[in-house]
Amino acid sequence: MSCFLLLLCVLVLTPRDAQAYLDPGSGSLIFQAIAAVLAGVLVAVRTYWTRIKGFVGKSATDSSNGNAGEDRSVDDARDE
Amino acid sequence: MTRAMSDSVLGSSFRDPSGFVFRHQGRILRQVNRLYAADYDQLMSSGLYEELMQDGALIPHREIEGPLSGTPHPELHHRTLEPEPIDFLSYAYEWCFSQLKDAARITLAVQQRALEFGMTLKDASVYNVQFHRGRPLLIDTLSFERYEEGAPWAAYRQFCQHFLAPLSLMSRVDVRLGELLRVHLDGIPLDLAAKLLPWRALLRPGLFMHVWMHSRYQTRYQGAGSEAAEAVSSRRLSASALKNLTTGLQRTVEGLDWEPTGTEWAGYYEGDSYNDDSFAHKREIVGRFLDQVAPECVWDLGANTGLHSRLAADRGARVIAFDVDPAAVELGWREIKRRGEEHFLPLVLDLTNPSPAIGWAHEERDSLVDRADADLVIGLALIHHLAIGNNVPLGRISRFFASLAPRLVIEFVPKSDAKVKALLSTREDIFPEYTLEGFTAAFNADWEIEETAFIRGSDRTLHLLRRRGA
Repeated sequence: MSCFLLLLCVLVLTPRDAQAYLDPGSGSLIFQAIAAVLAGVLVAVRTYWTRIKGFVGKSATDSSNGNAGEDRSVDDARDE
Repeated sequence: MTRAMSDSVLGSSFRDPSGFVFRHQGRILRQVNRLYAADYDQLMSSGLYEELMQDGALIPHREIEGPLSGTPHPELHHRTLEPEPIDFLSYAYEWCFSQLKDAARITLAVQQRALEFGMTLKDASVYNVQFHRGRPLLIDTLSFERYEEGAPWAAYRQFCQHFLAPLSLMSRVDVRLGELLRVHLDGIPLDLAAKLLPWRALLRPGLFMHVWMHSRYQTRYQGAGSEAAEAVSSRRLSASALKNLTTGLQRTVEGLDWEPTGTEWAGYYEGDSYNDDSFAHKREIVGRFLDQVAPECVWDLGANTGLHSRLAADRGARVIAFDVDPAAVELGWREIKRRGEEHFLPLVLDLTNPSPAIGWAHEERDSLVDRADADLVIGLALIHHLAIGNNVPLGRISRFFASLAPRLVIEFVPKSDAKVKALLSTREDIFPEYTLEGFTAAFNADWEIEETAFIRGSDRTLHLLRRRGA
């Protein structure tokens, strides 16, 4: 019975992170936040770059042929 | 041969307190410890397990009644799992570029999937991935933990060292650098990778961040004690930031490529030894031998792209095709994926220096011989590279093959053959015993020659052997 209680205490009092047995590395944890922000910026930049290209493409095709409406809807669908 | 079967925890399964893998009456089982109960229950009840089954991304398992008698640590027991058995365990340092890249992709895909269900991977070891039915999947069912909002990804460092560093080195420096994984059991140190990568490669945002900057932060904060602990405990990473991080890593992995050209073996099948008739006759004989033996599992040594291995695969055998050339293995793997073959695995192997047993107490990763479970070994166009190219006496070759399987199909390539002439052209012929008679005598100690066949239009001979005492 006392063994059981001891085990129970151990289980209750052990911080959950004890399961994350892996050493994540201090530097890696700190840098990760920065990397995540940079990754997010890149995602945003790529999204807007595609939109800008689509817009520029639309203007170019407006003047060269009459299929502008069609092109724009394809680009918009890709951004979604 | 394998170590004696006993109820014991696997030599590689000791770091994670969530559970362990053990052998019980010849079966491989996984115990889930009470410590991990809540996480395991969430994996199974949240829908994540079913989704991963749909994706084919995690090894399926069934729960069995436990703890079984004789099982280690019954006091910790929560559940006993029986995962679907993996045909053959292979390790990252035996993989070609695309196999490692595919393993990286599946790891990140699993992480993305886990996040959708409020879970996250607590580790991202390359040894958590195995090839099963022709595709890579996660074999560590206990890798998942409940996601705590704001918690950073503990496995980030490990992912970068186990996957990103070797992939970037193989892609941007030399494909042989994958071999570094054999030396660095916890992945290639990022500072080492940063030093080896050319500055041009580090201009790419993905490698610049996850290898170079990452290594700088690692160095700066190692052994920093309480200062680091404070900085770390205040860091919070939102769920969407974590998702972006994972997506960023996925893009970085996708951007790494390698084309198998310009290696020694590229134009292998051209040349004097192989006129069309000889080639066809050789394949016919090998096919006949395969029909006679009807093996369940075949190891093809020096398989090149697996051209002849496929003769066994087409007959329903499970095949491992080994070759020293990463380019040949790469081409073989791409073909296997294209055909969707499920029991055909190509691997990189230097027969003169095969994978040793490594890790703690030499028990974490098994040697090649420890994993030998083939019914038949095939060694075509191989023996001259070992005996003459590498000065290995025929008797030793015979003995080594005998440690791998009870049957053998081997091609003897005589000195009159163009390929052997090429090998001897730059050196002294110190191989008086390297003749058909010498070969027969040397192999006779370990093998009984059941049949010898002469290949039309060639001086080469094919032999079907049965191990003595088999």
